[in-house]
Amino acid sequence: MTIPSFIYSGFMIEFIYTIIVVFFCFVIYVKTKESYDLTKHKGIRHFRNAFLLFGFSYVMRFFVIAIFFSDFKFGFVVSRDLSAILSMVFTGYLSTLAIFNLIYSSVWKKINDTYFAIISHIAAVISALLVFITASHAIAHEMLFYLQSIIMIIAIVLSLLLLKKKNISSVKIFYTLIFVFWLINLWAIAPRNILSVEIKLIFQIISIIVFVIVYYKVSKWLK
Amino acid sequence: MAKMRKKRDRLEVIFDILKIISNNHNSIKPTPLLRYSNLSPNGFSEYYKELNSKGFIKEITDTKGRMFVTLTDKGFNFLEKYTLILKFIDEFEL
Repeated sequence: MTIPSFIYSGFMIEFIYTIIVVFFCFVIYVKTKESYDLTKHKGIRHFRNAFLLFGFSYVMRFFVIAIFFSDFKFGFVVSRDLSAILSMVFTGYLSTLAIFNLIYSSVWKKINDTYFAIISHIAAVISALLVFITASHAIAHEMLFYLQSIIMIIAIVLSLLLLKKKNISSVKIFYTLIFVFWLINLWAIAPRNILSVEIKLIFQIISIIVFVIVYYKVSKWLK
Repeated sequence: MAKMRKKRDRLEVIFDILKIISNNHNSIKPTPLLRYSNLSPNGFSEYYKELNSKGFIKEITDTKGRMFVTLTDKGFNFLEKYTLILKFIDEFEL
């Protein structure tokens, strides 16, 4: 049996990267369980949800990569493009919700819960629908990338306006980096992306460092 | 003019109530608890019901039929972890 060629094309790097990021996302979710159970604090709830959703988003992103890196033909009815589009739909939905949850964890005192739930789910569904109706893997990536970039910019500006603290804290920098690296990771799996394997690797290492720092800050207080 | 005391948030109120119980040898009657908690009767009643239903406190009756409020393990756990949780909330600006 010949070794599939995808092994040599950065697939293993993506696999290891996904495992590490998903691990940290889920560990952050688990570590904050007790503090949420004791306090039912809304900020903690949305903070946890954000990392859980990012974990699932990275898993779905990996499915997209796996579909297109595989040399094997699928033996079932669903076409390769359609399975990639469906994975992108879930990626779009989950990641949009993750972005909203992370922003809302800081501004929940200023915005009503119900409004947040409605707006975030509408935005997530719109993201997913737009990806689906493009019916093209290449366009779906670009669509999601630009849409989430706009959502991210609006959300960050809104949070700066709502919060009294105007100074840029380290936490806001980490949140921004998480968003930016997510967008880069989204772009990196597009068919027309121009990033070399080496450049992607550097971004991935830096994004892992960001997740490690967030995990360290969480576990500093929550054993 | 006396300085206005900052309004306590929900977690702070819960901590204060549980701390009062703990400081009274983990056994206090509801009326003194209300008095020490610095809450209105309606406000206290809401917090009391919440703490009871969520298992932070429990009611015990002595042989003379008098009711006392005590902390559960969960209540003790909250007191122990409160400061750390506050620092976590503060660190991430939640």
